[in-house]
Amino acid sequence: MKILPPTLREKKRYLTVEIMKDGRINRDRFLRALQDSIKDLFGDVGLSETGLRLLHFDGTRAVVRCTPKMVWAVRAGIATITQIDGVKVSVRVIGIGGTVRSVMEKYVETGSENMSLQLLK
Amino acid sequence: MSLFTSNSFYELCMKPESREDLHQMAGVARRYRYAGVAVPIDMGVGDLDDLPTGFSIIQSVELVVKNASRVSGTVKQWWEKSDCLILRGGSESLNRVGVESQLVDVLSSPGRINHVLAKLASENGVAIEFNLGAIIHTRGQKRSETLALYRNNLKLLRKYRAPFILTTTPRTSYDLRAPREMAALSMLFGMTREETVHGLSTVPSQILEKHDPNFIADGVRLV
Repeated sequence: MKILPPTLREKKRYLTVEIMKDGRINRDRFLRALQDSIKDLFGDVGLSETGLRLLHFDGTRAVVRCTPKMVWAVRAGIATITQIDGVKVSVRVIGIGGTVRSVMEKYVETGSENMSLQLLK
Repeated sequence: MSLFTSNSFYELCMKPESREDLHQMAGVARRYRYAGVAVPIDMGVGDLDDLPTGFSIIQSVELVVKNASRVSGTVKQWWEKSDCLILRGGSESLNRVGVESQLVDVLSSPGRINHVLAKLASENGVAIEFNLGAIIHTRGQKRSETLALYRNNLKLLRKYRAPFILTTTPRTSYDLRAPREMAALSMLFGMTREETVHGLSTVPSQILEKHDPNFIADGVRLV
């Protein structure tokens, strides 16, 4: 089967999120919490429009894919997550990019260094 | 996205439960690029050391008065001592007294406002609070009621050009939200990004300016 040409593919945005938490959470629980909170706000229709995928998760940083139109909806969904299975969390978007590579290079791989620099300032 | 990088943002209704909380929250707020936070005056922030530079902790007073007739006296007494005077509204009479006083900076949790209140708030420069914490922490019917309420309030505030502020009334550092997240939340009830910046940056700066000892009138300063 032929693959879909790039021009016909959905446009995407990749959000890097930072997770502040006081316990352990795993990938599946995080994705579930994110989907639930978007679903609570925008319903099943809204969630389907976001084209949500979780591409990377390491406990403190995650990369979430969505459509450009729904970036602010996903952001609102992210902002209304308060706890995951009793673990207090606060999630925030630290950067947005157009390719996985760019956000991984800019926000995930150098993430820990950036953070310590910010604290030093 | 220069809108969110070129302005200084303030969180005016922080309510930390202890001094350790305050320390932690100040650090988180700074990391979220806030320029300052306001905490209740009885936290005793005067002797707080190792504060990061470029970050200010503002002393606020929140008045919770039951009897509306006693508001004006208490307001006068506390205005001088604080940098931001907040009056907890709720009832019809309290809201009315709050927006009629030029000394009240913020009217918090006013409930449903009407055109009379919005107009008075605009004339006297009393900012109406939008508590986004209610959107973050509730679900279902209660949240939809809050959103409907805020949508109504926003419509009136726009019409009369009354000032408003956005806050999450955070008690722990987990309740704080970064400015862009605040914008995303306020878009849920129809606020634009420019209005969010207005409520997080312009209005709080004006309030702080009013409490500056060199302030004389709008646009007039003692130098």
